[in-house]
Amino acid sequence: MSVLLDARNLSKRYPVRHGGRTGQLHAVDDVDLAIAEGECVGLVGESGCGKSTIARLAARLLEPSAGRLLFAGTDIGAVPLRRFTTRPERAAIQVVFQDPTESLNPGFTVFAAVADPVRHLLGTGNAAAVEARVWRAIDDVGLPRALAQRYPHQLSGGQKARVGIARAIAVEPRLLILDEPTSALDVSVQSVVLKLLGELRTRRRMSYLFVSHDLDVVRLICDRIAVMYLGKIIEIGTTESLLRVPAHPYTRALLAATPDPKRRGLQIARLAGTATSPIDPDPNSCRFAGRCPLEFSRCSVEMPALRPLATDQAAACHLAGVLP
Amino acid sequence: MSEPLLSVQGLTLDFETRKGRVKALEDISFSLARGEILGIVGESGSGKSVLSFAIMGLLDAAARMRSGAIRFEGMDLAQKGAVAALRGRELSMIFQSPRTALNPIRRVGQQIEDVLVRHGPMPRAKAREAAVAAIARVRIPDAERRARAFPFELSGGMCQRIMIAMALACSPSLLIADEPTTGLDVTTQAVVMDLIRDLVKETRMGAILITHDLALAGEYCDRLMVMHAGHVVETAPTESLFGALRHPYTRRLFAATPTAAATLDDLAVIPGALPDLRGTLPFCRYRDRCERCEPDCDSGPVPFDVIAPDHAVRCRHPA
Repeated sequence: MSVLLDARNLSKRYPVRHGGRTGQLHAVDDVDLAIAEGECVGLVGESGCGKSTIARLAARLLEPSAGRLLFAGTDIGAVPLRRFTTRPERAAIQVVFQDPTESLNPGFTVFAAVADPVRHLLGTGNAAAVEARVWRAIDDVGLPRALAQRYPHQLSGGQKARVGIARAIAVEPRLLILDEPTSALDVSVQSVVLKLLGELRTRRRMSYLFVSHDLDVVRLICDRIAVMYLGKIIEIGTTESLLRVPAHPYTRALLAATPDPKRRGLQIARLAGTATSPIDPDPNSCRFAGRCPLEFSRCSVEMPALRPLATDQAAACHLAGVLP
Repeated sequence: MSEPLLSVQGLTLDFETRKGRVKALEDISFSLARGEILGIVGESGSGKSVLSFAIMGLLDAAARMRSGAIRFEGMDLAQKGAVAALRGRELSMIFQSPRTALNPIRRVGQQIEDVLVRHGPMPRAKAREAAVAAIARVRIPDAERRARAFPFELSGGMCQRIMIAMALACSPSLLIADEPTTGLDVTTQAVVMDLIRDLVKETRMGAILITHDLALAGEYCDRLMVMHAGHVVETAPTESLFGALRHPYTRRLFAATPTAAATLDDLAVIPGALPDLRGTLPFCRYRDRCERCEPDCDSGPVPFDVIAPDHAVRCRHPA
């Protein structure tokens, strides 16, 4: 399998002013992440950990502060945002946003919403060709053609979610970025959308970057999972291995927080407090220090590197691989 | 057994709209004891929020209660003015999306004081202290300082804890939490739910958790009530329900939660959509979506059969 998207030392920092001085907010900090052709990689973590920033960087909606972003071998990170809109990669990378109600234009019919990116990104002036693509996308997401002339307010939540996906796949992207595609949906609609995404990936041979805070959802659809904490990937591995033997204490805490009727009545140790500030973090301290139940003296003086373990995964923890 | 804290008997409720009568709830009966958490589970549109609004007396003017009774400690809540006197003090509610439910331009401590002054009732000077105590009670560190924060200065989980603090400020006997953790991270969700559970056990109040997530309800509730299209289709103590999911809808709903599925292929889909609640409805409102549907399903009102101790199912052909 060849690598489709390859982020190397990718960083995104924002200048912020706090307490009278300017600092740097490290939203994404020196991240390496590769997605192979046809692969689905899940990116999980709490809100504010930088997962959506990575999604936006990968879609080139944001300018990276440092690092390289290779798409099929080309460094698209070096292309200025304004020029990127006219590049062929612009159509090859598409995004499905979180809330289908918020992300659709209320003045566009379903057909117009799906046709819009086709016209703009593929530059096809041929009306028949545009129409053919739009119908194919609408059929592929299982939306009845009779709904094509409806407006978003005339659709159910599940139908709107389908429109959001149809719009993204109409231009036949090679990489689909899904930013919390199901977290605004009901359980019943979520299961339909997840199954649809699984099916589309095989049928259209796309790669996915699946961003979510819910490991239980990610596990069903992804080949590999990356767990983020405060701008860093702290653990990454195959879904099977990462869930069977989670090596990082944070990954373990995430797993323990997923609701499960089998755990009824148990008192489970929860992560106390909130993450430390992402503004000018101490480069010599583990980001999880201060919240980690297993913290010891070394954690606050030496940042653990992401290192490969004997299993199909890598973790950034001094205790990774040693923990029972 | 002593009198339950809350009892709803045969509640049927419609909405008169220009497009016809919407049969939102039909023949709902349940009771809730002190120290108990009841989970009401179902898809959006199943009537779970309407039911909680009916209990709280917050229904739209178009709502018509056709029959049934809602009793709180024996008092009839349908009587004019009865709920208004209790709401805020004895009955309390936590709403979805804490950020929109809080006033964005008032400090969170003051907002809790407002509740105490209005419903306590309590003088403003005393309320200030009580508000800080209420914030501390929901395990927010440094409550004194947090009380002076505006909602935008707090994280989502923190705002939700403020909402809980506000709901619990007057030590209510009944707490209704309507999707209290939607939009929160799983880690925050766990903390908020642990808190609700522990406070219920500590203060012996009764709580109703409204959610579409059967796995979440299964972890925290003592008893579950599954709703579909305005009907209660199954109700049982949590252990008994998960021991044997009997109604076809309950089975599907659980199989559609990621927790229950090992792979994407295992994940179930609930076919069809909720029926339109206007006009004539079949006796079993799930029949058009059901894989166990038989010709006799529509032969008359579906009995709510007790199939095991305290476990009842509204289905002619339960699994």
